[in-house]
Amino acid sequence: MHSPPSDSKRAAGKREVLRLAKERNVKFVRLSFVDVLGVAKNVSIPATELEAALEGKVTFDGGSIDGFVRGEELDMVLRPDPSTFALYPWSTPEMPEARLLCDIAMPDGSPFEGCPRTTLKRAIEEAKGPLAGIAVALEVEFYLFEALDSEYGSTKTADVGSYFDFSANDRGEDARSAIVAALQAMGVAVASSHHEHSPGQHEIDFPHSDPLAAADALLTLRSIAKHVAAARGLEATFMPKPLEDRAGSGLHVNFRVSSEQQPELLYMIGGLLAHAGALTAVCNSTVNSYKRLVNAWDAPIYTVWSERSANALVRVPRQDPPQLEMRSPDAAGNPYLSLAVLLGALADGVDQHRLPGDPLTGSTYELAERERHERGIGTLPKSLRQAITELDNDPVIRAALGDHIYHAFRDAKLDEYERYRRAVHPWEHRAYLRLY
Amino acid sequence: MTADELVAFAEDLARIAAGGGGAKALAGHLAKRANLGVLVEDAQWRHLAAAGGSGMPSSVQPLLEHNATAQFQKLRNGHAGRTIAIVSGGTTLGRLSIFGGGDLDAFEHPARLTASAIAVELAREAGAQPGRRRTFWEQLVAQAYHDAVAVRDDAASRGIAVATHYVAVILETETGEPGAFRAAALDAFRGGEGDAGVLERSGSLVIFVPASREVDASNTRTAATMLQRNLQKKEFDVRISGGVGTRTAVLDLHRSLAQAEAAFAIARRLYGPGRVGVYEELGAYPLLLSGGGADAMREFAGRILAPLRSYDEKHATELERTLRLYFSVGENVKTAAAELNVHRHTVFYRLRQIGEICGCKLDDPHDQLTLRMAIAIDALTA
Repeated sequence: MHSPPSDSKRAAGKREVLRLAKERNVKFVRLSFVDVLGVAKNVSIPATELEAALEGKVTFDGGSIDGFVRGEELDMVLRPDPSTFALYPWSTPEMPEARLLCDIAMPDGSPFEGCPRTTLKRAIEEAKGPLAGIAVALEVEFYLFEALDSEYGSTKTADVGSYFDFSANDRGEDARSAIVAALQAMGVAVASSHHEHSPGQHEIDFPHSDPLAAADALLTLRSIAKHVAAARGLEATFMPKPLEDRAGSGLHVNFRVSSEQQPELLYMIGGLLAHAGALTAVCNSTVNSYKRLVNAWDAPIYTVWSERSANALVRVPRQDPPQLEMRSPDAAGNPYLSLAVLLGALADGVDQHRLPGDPLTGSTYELAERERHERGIGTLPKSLRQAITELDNDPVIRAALGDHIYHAFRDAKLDEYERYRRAVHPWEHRAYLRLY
Repeated sequence: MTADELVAFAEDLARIAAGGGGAKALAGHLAKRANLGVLVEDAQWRHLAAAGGSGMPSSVQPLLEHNATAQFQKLRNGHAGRTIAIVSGGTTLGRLSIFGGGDLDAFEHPARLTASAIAVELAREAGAQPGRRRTFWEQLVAQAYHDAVAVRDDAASRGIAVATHYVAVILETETGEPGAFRAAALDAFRGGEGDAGVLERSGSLVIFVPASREVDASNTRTAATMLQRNLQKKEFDVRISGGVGTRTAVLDLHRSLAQAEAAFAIARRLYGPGRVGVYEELGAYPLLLSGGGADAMREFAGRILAPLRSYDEKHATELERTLRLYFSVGENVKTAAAELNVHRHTVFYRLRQIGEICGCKLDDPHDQLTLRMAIAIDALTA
């Protein structure tokens, strides 16, 4: 389980990183971090500067990064996490390159409240009472499309496979295997991978780990997948709904609780359902996310839990040790913030003894409005705008984000929604151009 | 609001209070007039009323500034809300908070007026009102009202916001002092919209939990079974026995109470003290205890088999037939599969579905007894 390293552990970690870098003859190190929107950024340093970087002496211009825009936040400090040191598998023997994931700190070294990775660490720390030792496993869906010379990328698929299919001549299968191999080479464990519902759609499942390691793994997967796919003439995308008539790509978040926490399981489900609206704003953070959350391809649309239904928001299969699966998130958002708010909702459920009602049997898509009312089942937000309103009204989830990130995230997302609202989409041309 | 509007608002509050409207009705008026969410809590942070808006916090306690005063003030961390203490005679009786978009400071005066009106109501309740409230619930379970309108009118005159449906819960401790855990028990049974009712009688605590929606009843049943553990976590050293009735319309509350009493008696006989029995989960035992006639037996069989029948009708499945056959061939899956002309894995699948739909385990003797009795009674009375 992850816990903040003690000074001696951190020092030992630094020594180990320096030893490994020297042993592997590393030439460059990318210091990676994410902005509030979950986009990976990095500062590349020559290996000669690694020791200084590990001492927290590398700074960057915070004013130019989304979510950090405030005059006084310029020259932020990068604080590398030694446990994330890994060599990029595509490095050549002549030019070995490594990466380190970093937290962002204030110039005086104090934690920066706008750093998503630090926010997740804080959420883990705050949830320690009710959720001590909780483990997370992510199931990540994505598409591999042909890389064609077009402005926005293509949606032409490289195969015709479907769920769990195996095809010897499938370039997508090869690329997926290469992605898994690259992850393993970087020390990121993978539980399994398979072809998903739609042609070109794949899934990679990570084993259970502490929440911080899980978010780090997803961040790593996103960059690795794009790199490996590009090398094979393909394009990897974690966009939630790239094709209107095909399944969207989700991020199923599985929480495994300890046997001591089993009696609190119902409260945890209650917490996820009670805060579902606000969670959606963070876990489904693009305007495109809401095109996946429709009544098709087992996407969740209602705040309901079930033991078996694949389209319930929370699925709790009968198994030992117990596990909760949150099925609405997608992998396009900020994994650190998604896990931070999910932990906040789980902890609040336990703290406030929130009960979730009875589990649902059958498909949620068949629920009539009256039945939903009687069972206290709500509807997930249908747009990013609606979701942000839910976030505005939910102090628990806002507190999980912290004031700084809440406001930065909200401003950025309202701007994104407004740009989308003003855009004229191809559907409108098809529907109206000749009609009126 | 202009001065005239403010005067009209104050007159409305006075009218509501004079008509027996309690904190909920007063909060509701503010919510409606100002288009805000309004939350009212007592001095112990117990929820008294909420109206308007959605996504309000369950309590403003964690959102209060450390130096919270009686004045109209902002909540912590830039939360979109304002709060004001409800004060009577120098004593803080609770807190009224408002939530919503726009300029909340513009609603300071109506919020203060509402808090004052609620203060009068709460102060009055602290005096004579509990007796009047108690009488209402006693009259209700004694079937003193002829229709739901009479129930609502009398409840309103006593400052009670009555829900459409309720679930009766009886709790008892070995020491026979229910007052000791009253507040904790009430906190556990939050229920849905509407006021809860409480009676203390002959060593038992009777709680009428508002359950306007089925989910409120479901959560009440769950909360009852988790009560013992949660009280222990709060360091209440008591062993709780009790019973939970079914969700009934407010006029039929006596029926839910009788069921709670039956569930209490059955749980004590079957499991001994320290258990809360839930009527709906006791299967055939309430029927056996009451020795019910034909109507009661038909009602029982219909209630137990209803979920399967509804599922079969909706999905054109044969789950009820499968269950009957499974029992009739001595639980032999192979024979049942041959009779149904399906693979035995299909029978296993259907049995698992039946368990989920009925909320029972087919290998549990108690659940089997319930299902077998329901099928037998149905065969006799169909």
